[in-house]
Amino acid sequence: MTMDSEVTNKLGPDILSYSVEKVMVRNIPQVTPYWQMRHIKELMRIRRLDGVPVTDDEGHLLGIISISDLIICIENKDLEAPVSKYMTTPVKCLILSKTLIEALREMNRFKYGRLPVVDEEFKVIGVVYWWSLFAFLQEALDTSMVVKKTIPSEGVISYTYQVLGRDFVHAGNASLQMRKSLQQLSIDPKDLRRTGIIAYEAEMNIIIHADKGFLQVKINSEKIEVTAEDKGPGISDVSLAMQEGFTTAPDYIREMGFGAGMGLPNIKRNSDIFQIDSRVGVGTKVYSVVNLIRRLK
Amino acid sequence: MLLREVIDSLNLQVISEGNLEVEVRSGIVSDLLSYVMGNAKEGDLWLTIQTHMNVVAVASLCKVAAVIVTSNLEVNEEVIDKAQEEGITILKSSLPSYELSGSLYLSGIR
Repeated sequence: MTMDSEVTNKLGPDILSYSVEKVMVRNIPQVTPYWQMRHIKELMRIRRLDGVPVTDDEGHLLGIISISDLIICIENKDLEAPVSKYMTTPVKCLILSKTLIEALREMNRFKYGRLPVVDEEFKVIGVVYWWSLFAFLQEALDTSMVVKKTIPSEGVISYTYQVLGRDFVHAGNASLQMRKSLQQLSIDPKDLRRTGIIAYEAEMNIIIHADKGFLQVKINSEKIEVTAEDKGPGISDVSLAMQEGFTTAPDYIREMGFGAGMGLPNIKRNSDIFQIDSRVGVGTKVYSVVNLIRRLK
Repeated sequence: MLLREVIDSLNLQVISEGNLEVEVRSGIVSDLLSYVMGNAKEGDLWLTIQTHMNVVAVASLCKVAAVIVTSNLEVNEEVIDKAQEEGITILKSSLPSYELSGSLYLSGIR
């Protein structure tokens, strides 16, 4: 048995000298001092932001309005007040040429949860949030996106991909990687498509419902087997979960167009053999087989 | 009808350019990703108001000719970068999905 595994390490040792651009969040709504505080409350709720920079009409940085400013305003029952009354000013900010480590130092030194990033004209172009920094560093340090290629026996290739729950940013990556690996083999496009749908839906199920899991594909000359196994809540009534339209996904997931109760039925429809095994409080295992239209050599 | 001709005749904005010389025959309108995966045909135009990263994954999986983001919704740069990387065409229209699909239907894409 031979085995080789590649650990994805996209970032290398000099990640800390990256520009803050890599970690900043763009498309931050432009808030001006004459906005009312109740608009800030809505903005923070809808965009799930804990602070936004305040600018003049041309986009130059004036201050910042954070969740703690909002709390004071709500305590004062003063939501009709303009942002200018509650915003924090002057505000610390980063210029675009600063590096990641400088951003980390500033945030840690002043215990800031967020720092606006400005260009040379002092116009806001993004915000570094503690969570965007955290997400970047976690990804950099994480070796869990392990892609393992194994050859368990003669004529069989197997790939395994790790999937992390609630990680919507990287959602679809495992099945995309899988598809790319399969594209190198001479598989009929129809089979590739069915396998792709099975893998994607199975991956999304893990992301939506479980803490973590893995996606495995095994290919031999006649068939492709896809196994998705997770550590998660499990399904209490599998036959109900198999009904089209039945879902337990929360609203924010459904807003993204997932969790419509079509995942498992979609997987079944595209599989020649379909098995599901779930235990409440333990996890779920979905096994699918796609019989190949053309045998592989 | 070629995708390029559809873009010109309906005034669509190209925000990520893949292959514009593909033949477009039909379309699908849905914001449910699973529905699209279950029902889209290769070469379809997919009209949606979803703009997040997974639209690219689904478009690539279903091999749609293009994604058309309707109602002039903004698509963020990471999504556009990813679409370019995957060779997926993303178009934008100021019309809502309902009106745009009417125009597409009238132009012969049925």
